[in-house]
Amino acid sequence: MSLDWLRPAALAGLAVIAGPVLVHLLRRQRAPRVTFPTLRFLVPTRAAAATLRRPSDLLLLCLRVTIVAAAAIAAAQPVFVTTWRHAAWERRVARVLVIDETQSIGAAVPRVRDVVAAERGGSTQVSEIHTTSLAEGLKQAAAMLRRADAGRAEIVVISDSQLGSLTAADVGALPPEIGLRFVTLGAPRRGATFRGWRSFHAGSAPAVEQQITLDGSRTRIMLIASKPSAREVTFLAPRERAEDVAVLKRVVAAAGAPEMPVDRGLTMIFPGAVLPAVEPLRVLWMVNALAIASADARLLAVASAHRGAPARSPGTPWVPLARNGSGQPLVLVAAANQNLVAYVSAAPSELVAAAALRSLLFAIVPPPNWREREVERLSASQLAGWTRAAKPSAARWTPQPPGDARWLWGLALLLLLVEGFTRRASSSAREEHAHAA
Amino acid sequence: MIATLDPRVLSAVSDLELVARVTVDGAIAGLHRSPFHGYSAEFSQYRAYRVGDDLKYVDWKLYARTDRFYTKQFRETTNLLALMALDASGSMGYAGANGVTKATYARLLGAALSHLLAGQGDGIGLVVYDAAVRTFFPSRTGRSHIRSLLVALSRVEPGGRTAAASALKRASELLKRRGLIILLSDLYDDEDAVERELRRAVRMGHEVAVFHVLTPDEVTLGLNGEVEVEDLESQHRILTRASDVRAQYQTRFGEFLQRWRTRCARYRVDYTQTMTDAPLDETLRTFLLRRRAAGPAR
Repeated sequence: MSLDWLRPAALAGLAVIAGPVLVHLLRRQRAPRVTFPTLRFLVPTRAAAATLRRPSDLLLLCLRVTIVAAAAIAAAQPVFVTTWRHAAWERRVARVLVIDETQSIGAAVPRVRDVVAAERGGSTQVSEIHTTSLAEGLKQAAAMLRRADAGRAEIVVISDSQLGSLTAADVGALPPEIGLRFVTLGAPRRGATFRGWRSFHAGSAPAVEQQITLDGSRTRIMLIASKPSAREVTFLAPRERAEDVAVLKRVVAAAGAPEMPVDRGLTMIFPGAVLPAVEPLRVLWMVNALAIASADARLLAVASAHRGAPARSPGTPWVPLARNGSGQPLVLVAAANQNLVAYVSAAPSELVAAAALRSLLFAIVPPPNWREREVERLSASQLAGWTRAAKPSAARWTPQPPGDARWLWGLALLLLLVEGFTRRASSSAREEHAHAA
Repeated sequence: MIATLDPRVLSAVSDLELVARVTVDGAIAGLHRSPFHGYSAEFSQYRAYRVGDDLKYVDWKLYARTDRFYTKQFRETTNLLALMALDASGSMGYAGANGVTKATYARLLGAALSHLLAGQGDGIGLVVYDAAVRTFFPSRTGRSHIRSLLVALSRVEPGGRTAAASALKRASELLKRRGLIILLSDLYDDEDAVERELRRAVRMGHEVAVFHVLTPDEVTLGLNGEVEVEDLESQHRILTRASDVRAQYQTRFGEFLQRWRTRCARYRVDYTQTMTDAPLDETLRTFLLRRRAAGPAR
């Protein structure tokens, strides 16, 4: 059996023990004063004076010290860790349900509710994490369980277990004592066909759209003709650069890039063009696009490799998106009339212009969640291999309230009564003793 | 069987005259005559009866033998004059285990003596003293005088220091002729000075009786454990452990008592040591019996 504390800081209250000790030392033992007809036959004794320097009434002092100590210890809320208590602790299971919220599980949502209700029964603590990324959900669950007050911890993944939703690395990152179970819901799908991107097109080239077909482990992508988008990228460049701009569009179209959605706009401006009135980026999709594009390794690599000296860059509120090898801004962005405006400090014929355009198109049009479309499932053997039982961990032990403070409070109360009785008895006994013949 | 009078009971009775009478009645029961010898009427001679003589002085037996009238003549008629000196110092306020203070005991004893002396026509006076004389009543007879004296006795409250010597000196000087001085005290005083005044009083022809009033606690040191003892007169305090000093205290106290016995015996002073738990009538009776055994002083 060991001892643990719920509020160990309260043990500092033990310092209060010095109180009664000091009081008894300072007050000393007060000899009862008695009157006598004469002192002529009496002599003072040293022993009496020495006795009076000892703490008065040792029994009372002991009682008072014990009361204070019991109260301080009770305030610290001790927990006696017995075998029984430890076993009970180990029986406690903290459970986190990682619930797949991807569209693919949509049809199985009622079943999810049933599973959640079943998993909640019999467990001390159950938390839920609703996520569209099981890998992220596992990380969050592990973090939550690290703080859980239970002897064992378990993660239950409720999902349709699409292939790729979890990897061995995701599972391996979990602490080994955390249990893992999988509840697979929904009927397996044989195949699915859906639309991918509408491709950026240039000039008279026909607009095409991806048609993706998943058939078991096979994937087919067909490009089918589609209507051109009502929203196109606007280019502002000197008239003599028109041909370069056309080449730029064709290059980007050939390289492959998504078409602009109808609710967003992009304007590319090259040196020599009249700059429109711009404003800082405030619209969320523009800020997101800036964040995505500024992390595009290809764009950054092309920009840093750009040799030509950049034209004089406009100032505020333009925000640099990419810089050349000398650190000078090469591509800058701002906002104008709900459009994202990009200023490329190079000719349209430069590679950096194509890289900037393609990067911005990808940044403006978020990639579809291909994983959502997966029809293959993680194999049963794979899930069984990842499944493991929760193990009790001594490191997880945390003392649980209410602890055993109530016994100490009771003891303190009892001793308080004894102290009161002893104080009265001692006082009257002293008087009687002094006068007793 | 003579019932003893418990001082605790008597001290609770407020009527000092009643207490005195009861005490005296208890003390002299069985005694045939008073041990006090005053200067009372003493036969001198016969002379022939003259017209006008009081017939109660005619000796009728002599008339029967001689057939002549003779009148008895007396030489002198005087009574005893007594003066009580009552110590009312602070130390007399100490009460023993029975709760009766020495002052109370002395007061009761004094009242009994007053009643006894007054009952046989002797004069009795009172000096109440502490560091100085507080109250003085000259020795007189008469019921009203005795009542006043008893009232004064009942009002005695102990307090202050002791100086018995000056009170004794004054008492012996105030007695107009040879008389009886009764000292009621615990004798915590300047022993030599008191002895000097006792000797002086005896040399002046007075009889002196000392009632040494004590409590049993004083004799045995009735304290226990570590105590802070405060002197009732000087208010000085000392810390002591009673068990450690008891033997020494008792030795010293025994020597103190012995000194007083020796001093009193040296000057033929009647010394009576009494405890506050001793029955009053027995104390008085012992005193009276000893006086009777000693016979008239003069």
